[in-house]
Amino acid sequence: MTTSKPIVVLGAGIAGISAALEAAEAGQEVVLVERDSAVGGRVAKLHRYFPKLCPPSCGLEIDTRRLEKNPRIRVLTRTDLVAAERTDTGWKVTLREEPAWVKPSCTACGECAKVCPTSVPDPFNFGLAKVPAIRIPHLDAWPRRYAMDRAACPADCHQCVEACPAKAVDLSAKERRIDLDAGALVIATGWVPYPLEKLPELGGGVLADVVSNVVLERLASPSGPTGGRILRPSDGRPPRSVVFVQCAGSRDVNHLPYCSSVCCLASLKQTLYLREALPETSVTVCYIDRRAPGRNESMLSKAESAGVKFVKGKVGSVTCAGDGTLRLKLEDQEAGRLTELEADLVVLATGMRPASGELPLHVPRDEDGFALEDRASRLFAAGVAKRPEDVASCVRDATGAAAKAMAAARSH
Amino acid sequence: MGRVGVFVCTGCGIGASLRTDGFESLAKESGAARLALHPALCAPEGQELLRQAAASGAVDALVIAGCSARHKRLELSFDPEKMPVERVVLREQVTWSHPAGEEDTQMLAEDLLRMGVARAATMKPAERAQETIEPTVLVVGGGLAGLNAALAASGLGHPVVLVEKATRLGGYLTVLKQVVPDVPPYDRLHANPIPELVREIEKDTNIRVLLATRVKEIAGQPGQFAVELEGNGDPITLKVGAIVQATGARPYDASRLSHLGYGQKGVLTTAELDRRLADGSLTVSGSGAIKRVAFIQCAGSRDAQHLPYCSTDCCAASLRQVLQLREAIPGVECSVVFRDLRTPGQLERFYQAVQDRSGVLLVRGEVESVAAGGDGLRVGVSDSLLGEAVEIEADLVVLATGMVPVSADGEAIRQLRDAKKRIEKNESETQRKAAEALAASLAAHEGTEILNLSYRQGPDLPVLAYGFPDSHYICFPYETRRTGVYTAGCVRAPMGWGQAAEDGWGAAMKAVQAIVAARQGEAVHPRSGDVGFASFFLQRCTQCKRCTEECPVGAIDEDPKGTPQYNKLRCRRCGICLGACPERIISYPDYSVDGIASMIKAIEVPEEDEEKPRILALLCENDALPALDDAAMKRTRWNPWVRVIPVRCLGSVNIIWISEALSRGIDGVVLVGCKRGADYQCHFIQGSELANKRMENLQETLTRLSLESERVRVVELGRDEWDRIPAVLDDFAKTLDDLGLNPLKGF
Amino acid sequence: MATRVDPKLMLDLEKFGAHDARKCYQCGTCTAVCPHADELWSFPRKPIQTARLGFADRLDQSLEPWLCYYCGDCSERCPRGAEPGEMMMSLRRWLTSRYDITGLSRLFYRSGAAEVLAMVLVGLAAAGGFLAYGLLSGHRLGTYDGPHAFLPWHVIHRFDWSMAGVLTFFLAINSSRMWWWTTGSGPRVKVPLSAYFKKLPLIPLQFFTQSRYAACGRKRSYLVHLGLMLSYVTLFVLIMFFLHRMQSGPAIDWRVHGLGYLAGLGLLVTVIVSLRGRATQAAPLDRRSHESDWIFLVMLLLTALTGFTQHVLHRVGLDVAANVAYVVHLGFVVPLLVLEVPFGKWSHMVYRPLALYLAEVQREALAVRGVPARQPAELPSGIRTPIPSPAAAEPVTAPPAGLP
Repeated sequence: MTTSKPIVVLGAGIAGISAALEAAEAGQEVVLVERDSAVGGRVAKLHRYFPKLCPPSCGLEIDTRRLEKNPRIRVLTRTDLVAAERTDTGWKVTLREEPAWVKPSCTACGECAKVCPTSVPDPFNFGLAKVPAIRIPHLDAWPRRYAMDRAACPADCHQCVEACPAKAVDLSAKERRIDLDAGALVIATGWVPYPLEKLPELGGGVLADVVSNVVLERLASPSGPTGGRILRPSDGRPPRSVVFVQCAGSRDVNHLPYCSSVCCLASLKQTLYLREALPETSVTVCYIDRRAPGRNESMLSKAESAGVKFVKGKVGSVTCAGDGTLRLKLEDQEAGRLTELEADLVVLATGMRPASGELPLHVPRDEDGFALEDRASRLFAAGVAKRPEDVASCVRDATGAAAKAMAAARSH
Repeated sequence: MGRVGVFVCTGCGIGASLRTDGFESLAKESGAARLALHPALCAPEGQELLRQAAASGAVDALVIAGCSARHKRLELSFDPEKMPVERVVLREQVTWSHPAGEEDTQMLAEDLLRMGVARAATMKPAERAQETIEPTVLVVGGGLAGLNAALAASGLGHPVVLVEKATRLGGYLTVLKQVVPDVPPYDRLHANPIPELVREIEKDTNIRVLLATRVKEIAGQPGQFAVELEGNGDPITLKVGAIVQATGARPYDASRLSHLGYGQKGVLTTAELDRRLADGSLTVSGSGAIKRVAFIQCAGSRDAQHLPYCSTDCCAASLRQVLQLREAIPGVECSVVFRDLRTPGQLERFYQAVQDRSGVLLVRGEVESVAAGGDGLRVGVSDSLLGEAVEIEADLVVLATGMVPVSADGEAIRQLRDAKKRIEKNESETQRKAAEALAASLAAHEGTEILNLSYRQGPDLPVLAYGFPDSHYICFPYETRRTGVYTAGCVRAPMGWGQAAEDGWGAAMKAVQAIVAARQGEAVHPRSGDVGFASFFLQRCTQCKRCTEECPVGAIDEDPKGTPQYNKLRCRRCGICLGACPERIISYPDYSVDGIASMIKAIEVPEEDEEKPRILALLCENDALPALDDAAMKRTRWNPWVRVIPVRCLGSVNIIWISEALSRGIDGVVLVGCKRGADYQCHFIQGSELANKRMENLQETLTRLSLESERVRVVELGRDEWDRIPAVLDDFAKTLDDLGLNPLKGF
Repeated sequence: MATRVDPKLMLDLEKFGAHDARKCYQCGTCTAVCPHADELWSFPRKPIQTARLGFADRLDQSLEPWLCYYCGDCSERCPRGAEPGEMMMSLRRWLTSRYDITGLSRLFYRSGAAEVLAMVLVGLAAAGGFLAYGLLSGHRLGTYDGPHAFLPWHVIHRFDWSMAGVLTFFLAINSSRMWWWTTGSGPRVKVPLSAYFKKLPLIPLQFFTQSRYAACGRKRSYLVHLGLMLSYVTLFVLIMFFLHRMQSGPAIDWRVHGLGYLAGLGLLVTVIVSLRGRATQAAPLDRRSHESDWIFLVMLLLTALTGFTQHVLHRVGLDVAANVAYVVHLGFVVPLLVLEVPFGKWSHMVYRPLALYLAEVQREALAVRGVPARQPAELPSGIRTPIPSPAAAEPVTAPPAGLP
């Protein structure tokens, strides 16, 4: 086989991991670049996947093992793209690796976290819990290594340095610039949830018990802030009724004109685990169209037989009554009348926005910011950087993008 | 028996939680050649110590006792062809999960060490296969996905043979002038990509196109498939390394949709309308001018009586036809009757653009009737949005029929063939009747073969839900149950053309991977990189066929006598054959019936009067074992009488291990593995299922040993349920406590 | 019996200004955010769907378009840009033309040119008529007030009273059509006579206070509309009953002129504010303007301006100019009244209070007939298949059984 330059994959969420692995297992040298200290991106924060309601950590377990075993993949975490310049045969890529405050010799024993005097809101749990400044990013984090939020450290604190039996904490570490000659680029920078704050009329960012679908995943996860008990953020009580508001931001010319593709199924999945975890709790989904393509159709009947109620009608407003009960105004279109639902917890099925806009690199995009592939420039996109889609589609599409990148890197 | 070097790491609190002074003698008693303690085996000095030991020639296998095998893999791994390694998990399974300094904790650690040494002694270096590997990729199906797959494989440097049964390339899309917008601008139709693709294919000298050709037979294994093709001329035989099946989908049989008016004049399907738009016969054949057209969505799809799934593409396809019709017939009024309009992603913009034209009406509702009336047809719709029935008049009604994958169910075809053979043999009345009934129920599979694999488990990919031949569609969408054969496009799942094109690239990538892996003698997903093959001690084989039947990937064929023939390059190293074999003749260099059995034997079973039960936990290494690691990370405690042995899959558990354990006086055996059933989470598809089945058979053995059936338990557990697994173990311990000690202790 | 779908109605409605309604994908946000919709009167989504399906008869029977004040919340929140507020406005235009027996309304709403032409013709006829009257009756152009004025008040009075009679005649016929279709023929409920009496005070109340409009979030629109309406009514009263005093002078008679200034200024300011709003498209209600909206406002503006002009000219003693301005003024006022009140936008001053009244009459009738007007909030009906789970049978708000 002809030797070729590595392909650089930006972002190690499920799309980036898949693209990197598939290319490497086909014989391609790959550099996988991730800004966070662990790989997994958004899926690592999910409680379950639809339609099987299986845990994302199951697939990630296999994938991280593949990452670890494959000598053709170099994984750079805590690393940002600084610049990328087009050359005749690919890209000159400049990366910046954050200082390695915690060295790879870390054994993940946790002695450092025990002595850490500061605590910060846990970004992994959307700030719903507090964690020490030095910590394992999450239970299944890979690389399996503690990471330090250096900005949160008190001045002149060395407690973790002294506590570490493996002498892995190094406060004098320096950042590193890495220059790479890449045969092709794959952008797999994923997505950010549409901000709740932009939906104040639905209580987003205003009412504590109006949460987004991504937060609900954390509330349901055994390793989440509530230990997997789904509780109302305002008073910590289990909700007796939960209403899902579909298209919270999506399919809306005032917000996201496109359909985020996954929210219907994400909500269906959530209704199922909610009904299982809290059988006494009533669960209602308010929707415009129930979009469960392909075999995911079965989710609808599953939810219906699990006692989930569906109302055709988009929610217009969410307000809070004096007793903390949330009131949702909507038109129940099948009954043909305006109605008000009461809920203890409201889940906004917020959509996804591409995150690739933050890259210091010109990426061809469509009007909503989703990246378009540019074969001539050896620039490819995978996953939600390219279009709103679910995990299965991300993996499928990342495999194809990896093949395109690999083919491009081979051609001189 | 190999010489084993034991290296115990005392870091991460292990040393502090245990008395290590007795380890020397323990190692000696277990037959180890050497024992060393080190404060940090993963540190450079520790690694050096291990490297030296491995290089010294004084040991044949290493036991590394310290953290979980899921940690420090890079630092603590050795070339499997030279030095097998057994990791004993003292950190997670002892130090982090049990109180330091207690007798039970110490006994647990010592048992684990003994078990590790016992197993390491049975491990052998792997032998990497060195085979001649053919790089060619065979693509079956010349539609959009197939064309892309061919270009992809060629782009990745592999020769391609593209086989198409029709006389031209392009598949379904050939008739279309324009397609749904998959890239911007999303508000209008795009040019059909097929002609451009066909040009590219024709230019590519690396791709050999065979039209009007079918696959007659495929034999062999990844890297070495022998393919026989038949077309107009002489049969063609060739060697290929991997296969992409891109046979697409066919429209659902509309003749079953008479309730939607099919069969009446003026009622067409999506495909029929596409054809008529293409050949211009639309306006000619009708009685008068077409002024009003009604589209009926979900014609057959999302319907338990027909296709229970959503065909995904029909909503967008009908919107496309609305635009095409309005261009062909100016002023035509189009209504689309839908249940849920499904245009995910950027297709929403397309929906918006189509809806924004006047003369287009989208009506949500259920179609109740389609009947002739007025001067055309009348579609009765129960409209859910005004709460009353409405009627739409149309000159033309278009049924958006869904798609049915063009796949053949290899398993069903094999059963059908077997049944027919049995009928021929005419053994006994009852047997023949049963075979006839089976053959009748499978009659629809007659002559549906596509790949014609000469595999013991059937001539095509086995299908799972709804006739799609996939196996892990969420995390690993291209995986099928035949190594080296991947599906692309609508045969894999219903999808639009844009995704089908990407699918072609993705499946080609997997095919190339299969070839690369075969060349390196490595396993593909999910144990990618594993170089150990199974070996069969055939002298003891009784031709029971369990291994050939139960292998989830069809790796084992049979000779006419029923002796298993192992196709090692098909093998994914799950070990299910090893679990299936009643004669225990199958083993991997580092995973064998003996290896695990020797671990079980190494567990010290205290005398009855010590009142210290022993519990064997066989944990799936993909899910239950990592969950247990996580529980340890969280410093959760569990019962100290449990001895954990990881297994590759619950399906690889051989019953002998359980009967061995119980007859040695171990009080109970718990198997923790992945979820089974329709939403199975087993990476080897049916491992958990098989384990359960085998446990049913085990009940007989238990009765024979006069043991309670509760002493063996199978538990399904997800990878994320670290919070549950200690309770699973504790609960089983409590059940055993209630049962009392194993009466076989001390025998 | 299923109703026949007729996509052509939308094409017709587009002429009335409903350009964006086909973008509607029936999410119901508009209805959910509408401050005026309730369980009984649910809009704009339902009327939009009725229109899209082409059920003209059903629309004839509907009062919903008149219950809408176009606060614009629906248009602002509409995820599709379908402008439900403008759709409701268009439905009001369309309904106006349905009620109108002469067909003029339909002609004007579908063609701005026709409306302008009619305005011009009527204006010219009126101005010409008055000019001719003045000249032929031997009055001097230099006399503005008194019995020998160029256009003496009793003549104008005779004219405007008879015009009021004719307009009332048309409006009465059109209004009774509205009543019959929506209420009288009992499409929804058979209304007992008592209900009509009981709700009667609603008409003057809503007419003068427009308290329902106040429910809109945008108070400015309400205030502007109220200002315009009260100014108009004041001027109307002054002219119909106190024209002789209005016309007298040049000394200012504060008893009438004070009020007149206030009302005239109010009219001018509110009309200018409205025009500016439409020009800058500041609020949702201004984003889309139909030709008829412009014509109406411009005519009002011209009327107010010429009215002021003649008054000022008279006060400063330029009686000839004042009389010319008066004729011009009448050339604007007359077409405005003759065309806009019975056939145009202005007719809503009658239709809306009437519709509000009839809506409450129907609500009352439903209550009397045993159908509760406000149905108790119960389980959503969305699900088609029966729900097996016992928990699901409980109302949404029922307290849980097993939780602390």
